[in-house]
Amino acid sequence: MLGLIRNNHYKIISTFKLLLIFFVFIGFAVLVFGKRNTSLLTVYSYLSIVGLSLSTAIRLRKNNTGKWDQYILTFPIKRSDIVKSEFITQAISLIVGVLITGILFSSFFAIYGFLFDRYIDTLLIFSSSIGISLFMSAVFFPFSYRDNKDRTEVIGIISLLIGIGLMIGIITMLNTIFKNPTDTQLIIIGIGVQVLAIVTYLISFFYTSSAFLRQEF
Amino acid sequence: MKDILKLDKVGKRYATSNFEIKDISFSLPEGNILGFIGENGAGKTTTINCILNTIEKDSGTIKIFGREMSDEDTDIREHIGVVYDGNNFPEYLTATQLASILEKIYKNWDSLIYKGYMNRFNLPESQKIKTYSRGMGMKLAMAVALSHKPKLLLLDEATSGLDPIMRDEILDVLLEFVKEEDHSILLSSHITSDLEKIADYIVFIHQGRIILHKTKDELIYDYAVMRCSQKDFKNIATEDMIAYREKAHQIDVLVSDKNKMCRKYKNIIIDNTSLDEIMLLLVKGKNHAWSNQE
Repeated sequence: MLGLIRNNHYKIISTFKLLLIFFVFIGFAVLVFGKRNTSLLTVYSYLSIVGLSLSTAIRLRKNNTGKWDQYILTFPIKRSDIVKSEFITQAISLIVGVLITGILFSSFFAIYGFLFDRYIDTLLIFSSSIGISLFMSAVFFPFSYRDNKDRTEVIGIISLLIGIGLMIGIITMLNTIFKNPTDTQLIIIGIGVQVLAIVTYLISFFYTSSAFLRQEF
Repeated sequence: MKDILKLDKVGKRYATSNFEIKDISFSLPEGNILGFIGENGAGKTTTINCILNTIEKDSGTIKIFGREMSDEDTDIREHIGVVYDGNNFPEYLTATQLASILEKIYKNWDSLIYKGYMNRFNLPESQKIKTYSRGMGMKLAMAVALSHKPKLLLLDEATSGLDPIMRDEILDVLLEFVKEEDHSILLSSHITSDLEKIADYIVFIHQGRIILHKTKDELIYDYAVMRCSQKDFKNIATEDMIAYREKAHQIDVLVSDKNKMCRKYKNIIIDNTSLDEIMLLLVKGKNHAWSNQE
């Protein structure tokens, strides 16, 4: 497993580093030139968390030239471990995105003070951006494993749209149910969305593993 | 001698292309090299993929080290080294990075063996694999396949596209590998001269069927080609012929017992043959047993 994760790391690192530099730079710009604009901060959190996840997913599933995808099946590892390593790598990239955004939020609050209306808004921003990333990944992996024409980017974009759509759908549904939610209810909603996204991600892993088991090379 | 690999009536059919391999049976005893020959598209890679479980066979059994290998049987794959034709490894890696991945995957990975082969093959470890030539890529694949101390090597067209010097280097490595009694190699190739040098057994696959399975010595020393005129040809008993092929002024007849034919047909020239010629006569010729069965 560690070998596979290391391989994934080598596979994504060049693109990931570039994006990381880009997001650090943009984050710095938001801090310095964005002044007290919380909308910019919100947009940044979606861009960095979802953007890093999308780029990692696409890079992970981009077909290798040559026989590597076939060769890897001859290793003393189970097919489900190959899928698992990709889901773990994807989760790590999500955590990195959350950390960068977290650092930016903390720096912003340290410099300008807390400018959102409620503390709970921060939780909801993180909760929804993590949710979109997880839903997107949960859709992306099974489709990309089923695709044999290397249409990774297209599948990535479609998965992103589905992820955003799911999140909007959930938020709309919750807004209909809770007209004026209390802070406690919002915390429960925020955590509930996370749990739902994680469960979807896990279901996607098991489904992808079982599909990959039947795949021929 | 124990069989390290045994295939029994293996079949696989591709619905999209209608191509199939059928009733593939052969075994590879310990300490031997089996040359798996056939023209392009004959079914060599499909058979190897069935052995490695990268595709699912429709019928038959494949036993490696006496066991059928499923996805769960990772312990069997610890003892198998594989080399495919072409680029085996991702281009974004260097040889050092590749080793750092594989040492976490194979329990028996030996960095000293790997380094030894890298030095022996003059392969730059810190250079990206994408900058390697085809020959360097194949040498790297050999180094990787041997560095986790496998007992069975499966090589699919591993020497094709290489110059004679590189091929010879790789063949030397293979001969060293089978010095160990419990090591075996299945080498698929259409370069029959390589197999003449190192193989103990030859299995010939054509249109998805095994049409010949003999020891190399039988083929080289017992098989022969009779060079006949039309008149001579008419005197040859059908049961003596494996296959024949008409040329401009001569008919070549493949026979399986050179000495017997020499005694029986004293006026006909009988030459020793090569795997290439046997392959040609079996594929292009007429009247051979396997085509009569069809």
